[in-house]
Amino acid sequence: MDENLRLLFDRALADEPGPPPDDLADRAKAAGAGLRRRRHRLVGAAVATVTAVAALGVATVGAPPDAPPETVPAGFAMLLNPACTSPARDTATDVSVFLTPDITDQQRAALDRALETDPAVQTHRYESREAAHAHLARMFADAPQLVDAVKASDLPASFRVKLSGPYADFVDRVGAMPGIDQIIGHACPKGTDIWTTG
Amino acid sequence: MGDARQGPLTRWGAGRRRERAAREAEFTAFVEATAPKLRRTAYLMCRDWHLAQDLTQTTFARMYASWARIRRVDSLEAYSRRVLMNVVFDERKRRSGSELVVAEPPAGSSHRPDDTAELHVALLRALATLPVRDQAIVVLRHWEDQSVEAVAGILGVSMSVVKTQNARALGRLRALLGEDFART
Repeated sequence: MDENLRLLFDRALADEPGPPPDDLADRAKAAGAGLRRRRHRLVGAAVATVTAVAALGVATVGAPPDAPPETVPAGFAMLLNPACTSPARDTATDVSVFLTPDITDQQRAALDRALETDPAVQTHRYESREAAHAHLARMFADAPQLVDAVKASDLPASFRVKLSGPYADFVDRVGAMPGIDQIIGHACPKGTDIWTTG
Repeated sequence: MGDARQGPLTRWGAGRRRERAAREAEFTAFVEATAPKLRRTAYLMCRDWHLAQDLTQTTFARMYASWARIRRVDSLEAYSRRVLMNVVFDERKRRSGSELVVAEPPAGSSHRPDDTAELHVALLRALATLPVRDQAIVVLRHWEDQSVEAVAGILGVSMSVVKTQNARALGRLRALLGEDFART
């Protein structure tokens, strides 16, 4: 039956029009550069919205986008590995646990312990605001004016979690702990994560 | 004097430009090598060559937007399938509501296709009645010949989900297409 299927698919493809145009790569580059610009604007606007440096952020980064995300975490979704789906629930492989700015050391330690022992957590690591900023700087090396407009203190600290169990169970157990601002699930392909860098 | 001070900066600028040019060339080569196959897979998912072309271009555009980061991913080919399927799913979501899937339900209909010349048409129609993720599983497994593990990786589901959904999808296709399909 497998060969039969392949044969039929082959036949279904027989009416294929000529090969893709030569300039497909160029067109993808133009469209991709547009996506990148839009993403920069969204991130800039997200940061600006939350940190009330709207004038700085938006003016530096470009025209205001149509619909700026409301939170920094939502803005961060724009930074994602495009192979990841966010937000994801049932299929989530990775989770970002964004922390509130006023989280205490005690609350953070308690959260760290909870992640350490949670059965749905494979690995987790803490990402400070400075580390988040360093990431941002690396990912947006081609947009220095964006990086300059964002200070480390504008970004949320987070825990980066790799799941080994169901996302819903994880959120049930951890979601209500103090110091958490927002939890976002991501479904990423094997071997990559949300921050996959080159 | 001025030249001596500019030297390192100029060299740095040139180095950056070269690196950029190399990245661009790498991307173009990637597109040229993978576009034909990607477009065919896209076609089997949407049954429209024009749309398949758009989906392919969107896939490459999304990859280009992150190219500096993703170019060193282990399997760019699998990665491109993942992005394509996300593009297809997005497209489906955008359209759902305005248009429901084309095929009339052939279940129980008396005029089953009886020669293989029509069977491939019927196959694509039957495929379109499956949930979109099952379509992706069938196309990746049986057209692209991807392993169960690779399909699981591309779609972000477990291997057992791929196996059971695949079996169910094939059962459904067989039921819709009749015995001719199972034989041959």
